[in-house]
Amino acid sequence: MSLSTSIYVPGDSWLHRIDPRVKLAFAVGGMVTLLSLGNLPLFVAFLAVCHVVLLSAGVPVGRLAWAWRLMLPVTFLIPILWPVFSTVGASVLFELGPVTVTALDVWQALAMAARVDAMAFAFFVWLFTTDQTSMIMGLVGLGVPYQWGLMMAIALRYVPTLYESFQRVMDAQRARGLVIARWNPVRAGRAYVPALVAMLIGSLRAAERLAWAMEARAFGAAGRERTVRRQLHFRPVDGVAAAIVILGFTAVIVARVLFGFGQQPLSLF
Amino acid sequence: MRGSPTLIHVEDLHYTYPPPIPDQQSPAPALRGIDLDIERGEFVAVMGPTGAGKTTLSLSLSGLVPHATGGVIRGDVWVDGRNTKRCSVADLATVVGHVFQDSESQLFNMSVEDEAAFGPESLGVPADKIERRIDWALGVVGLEGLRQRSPATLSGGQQRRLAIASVLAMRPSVLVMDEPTAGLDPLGRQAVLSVITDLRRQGTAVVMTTQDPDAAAFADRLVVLEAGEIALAGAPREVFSQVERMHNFGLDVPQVTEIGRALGWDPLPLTLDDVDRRGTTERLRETGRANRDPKSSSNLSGSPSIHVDGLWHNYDGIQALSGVDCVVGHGDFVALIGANGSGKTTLVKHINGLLLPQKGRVVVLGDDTRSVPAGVLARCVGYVFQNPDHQIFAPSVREEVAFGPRNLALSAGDVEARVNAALKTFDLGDRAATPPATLGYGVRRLVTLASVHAMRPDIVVLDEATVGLDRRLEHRLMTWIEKLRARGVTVVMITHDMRLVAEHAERCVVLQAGRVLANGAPADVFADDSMLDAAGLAAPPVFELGRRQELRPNES
Repeated sequence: MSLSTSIYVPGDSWLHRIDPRVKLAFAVGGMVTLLSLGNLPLFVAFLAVCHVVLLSAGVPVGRLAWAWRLMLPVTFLIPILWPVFSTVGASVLFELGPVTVTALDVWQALAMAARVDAMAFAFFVWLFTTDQTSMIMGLVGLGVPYQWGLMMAIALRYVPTLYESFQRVMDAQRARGLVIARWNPVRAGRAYVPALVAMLIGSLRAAERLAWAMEARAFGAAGRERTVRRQLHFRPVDGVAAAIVILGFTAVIVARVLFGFGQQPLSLF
Repeated sequence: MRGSPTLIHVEDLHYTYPPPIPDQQSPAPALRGIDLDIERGEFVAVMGPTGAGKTTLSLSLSGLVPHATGGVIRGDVWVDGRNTKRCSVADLATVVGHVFQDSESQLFNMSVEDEAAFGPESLGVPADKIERRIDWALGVVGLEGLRQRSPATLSGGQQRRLAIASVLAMRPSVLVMDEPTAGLDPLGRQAVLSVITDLRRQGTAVVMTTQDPDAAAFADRLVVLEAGEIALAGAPREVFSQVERMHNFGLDVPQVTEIGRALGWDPLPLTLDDVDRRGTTERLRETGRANRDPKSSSNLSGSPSIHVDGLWHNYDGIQALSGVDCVVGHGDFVALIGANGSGKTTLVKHINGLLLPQKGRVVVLGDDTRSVPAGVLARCVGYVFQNPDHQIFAPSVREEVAFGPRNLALSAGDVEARVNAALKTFDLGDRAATPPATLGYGVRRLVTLASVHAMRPDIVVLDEATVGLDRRLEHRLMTWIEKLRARGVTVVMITHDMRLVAEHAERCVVLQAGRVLANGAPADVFADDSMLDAAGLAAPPVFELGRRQELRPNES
C-alpha cells in the first residue's frame, strides 16, 4: 500500500460521528485498563472488539493490515525477548545456556505482546476515525489549549509525511539503479543511511515551511479571535457511548482490584 | 496611505539572503533597488529568468522576506498602509494572501475542506460564513468533489489548486501568487486567470510571477525582472512587442505574437482575439502549412520499447488507472498529456518499476516489470521526477550525479568519466562540491538531468520537468532530449505545455480519469475538439489560430 495517505480514514460512519472525546476516552481508558491486566484471552477479546468496531465503521481491511505491519516488530520481539529476562513458573520447557524458559514465561510473553497490540488498536480506533478538526476540538473540549491541540493534530498529520519522504528517497535511489540487498544488512544499511539523513533534513525543512505556511494564513495574527468552523455536539447517543466506555472499563478495573480478575496470563481469576 | 488607491508601495528595495552555510560569504543580492506601486484592482504579472528575484519579490510582499528568511533588507515595502518591517507575517496575512511556489509545503491539514477553512478561521470569520467561503473557493478551482480527501493524496496539480483555494478563502485585498499556473492543466490555468479577473473587479490587487507569457498577457502591467532589477515594465502589449529583448532575457513571448512577428505584422498581436480582428486568412494559410507538424508519422516498426497492457492501479481506494493500454516504439518521443489527477505520474512510475501493476502488465525492453527489481530496470530507464527535491538526496552535486553510475558495476575510472561528462553537459563543473539544496530551482533541475544523463539510459521518462524553467533552461532541456533521441533513446514526457508537445513530440497519449482517451500524432489529437474538451485540454495557440481561420492543420 502506498502510504501517501494520512492516518485518518475519511468516512461518515457511526464511529466517525461519535464525539471525539468519547473515542479519546476509549483509547486512554482502554490503555489504563489494559495496563492493569495480564490476561491473554482478555487482550485477544479486546483486539477482536476493536477490529469489529473498525470494520463496522468502514475502515478497509488493508488499513488494518497496515496497522498490523506497523506493530509487527513489537509483536515478535516481545515474545522472543521476554523469556530471556523472566524466570517465573515451575514447569521448565527447555534450557538454553543460562536462559530457562518455563511454560508460564511463554504465556506471559504472548500476553505482553497482545497487550501492546491491544493498546495500539485502542488508539487506532480514535486515530482512524477522527479527522483533524474533530481531534483538535475534542482535545480543546477536554481543556487542552487550542494551540496545543492544533500542534498535536498537525504532528500526527506529519507522521505519514515523514515516512513518505523516507520512501521517496528510497524511490529516488531505486530509480537510479539501486537494488537493495535485504539479505545483506550492511549493504541495506548503507542504502538506508542517506534516506534517513534526507528524511531528517527534509523534516527540518518541512517544519520551517510549516511555520511559514501557517503564518501566511494569518495564524496568530494580533487582534483576531480565531473561530472554529465546526463545533462539537454532544448527542444523547454520545452520552450512551461514553457511559458504556466508562462503566465498562471501571467495572473491569474494580473487578481486577477486588477479585484479581484478569491477572493471570490464562485463567480469568 | 490607508484608503488610497495604492495598495502596494515598494521603495528602493534591496535584499540579500543570508549565506546558505553559516560563516560563508553572503550570496549576491537578490533584489537591487526595486520601485513598484500597485493599485487596488490592478493585476501585475512579474516575469524574469530563473534566479532573477521573482520569488524573493513575492515573499517580500507578504513579509516572509525578511521575517522568515533573515538576511539584509534595505528600502521599504508598504502593503495597505503597513510597513512590512514593522508588521508580523501573520498580521500582514490579514490583507495579503500568498500562494507559494511549492504548493505541497503550503498544505498542512488533514482534509481538503480543513485546508480551505484554516485561513478564514485564523481571521475570525464566523462559522456559517466559512462554509460559504469553502464552497466558493473550492468551486473556483474545481475541487468541490474532493472535500474529504487528504491533501497528501492529491496529484501535484490538484495540490496547486488547493493551495490557491486555501488563500482565496481568506478573501485577501492583495493576492500574491508565485507561479500559480505552473503544472496546471489548461482548464486549471483558465480557472486561475478568470478568478483573477473577478477579484480585480472587486478591487483586489493581484501580483503573479510567471514563466507563461500567455498568462502574463492577461495582466494590466507586466514587470520584467533581471538580476534583481526591473529591466522592463509596461502594458503586456508594449513589453511583448520587444520580442528580441525578451528572448535575450531568456523569456518567451506569446506564441501568437511570435507568429505575428514572423509574418511582419504591425502592431504585433497578443492574443487570439487580436488575430481574429485582423482576419488575414490568406497569410495565415501559409503559416498553417508551415506549422503543420512534420513529425506526424510514428515509427512503430520493430519490437516496442514499452508495452503497457490493461494496466490498473488503485491507491488505497483511490482509482488512478483503469485499464490503460499503450505501446511506445524504440526511439519514439511520446508526450503524455491530461488533466491534473488523470493518472499521468502513476502511469510513468510503472515504466521503471517504482509501481507494479495491480492488474495488467507492463513490459519494458522485453522484460515484465514484475520480474525485474526497480533498481535493475532503472539501469535502462532514466526517470526525472516531477519535483527535483524528490530526486535529490546526496550531500554534493558530484555525489548526486555519481550515485547512479556507481550502481552500474563500472570501474571507478569509468564512473569518474561519466560523472565529469554529465557535469560538463550541464555546466555544473564549478558547482560539483556544492550541496544541491543550496542551489536555485533551475540549477537543481539541471542536477537531476545530469544524474539521469550519467546513467546513459535507453529510455528517459520526464515528469513535468519543464515546469518553472525559463526559456533558456527549457531550451537546454529540449536540446538535451533531441540529442538523446538522435542516439535512439526513447522519450516519454509528461507535460501541460501543449506548445512543447506540438513542437517536439511524435505522438501524444491523452489520459483522462485513468484511461487513454486518445493516442496519435499531435496534429490529429489537437484537431479533435470534442476529445480535448472531454480531457479538459486545449490545443496550443498555433492550432487554435488555425482553427479560428478554419484552417485545420491536419487538412491538406
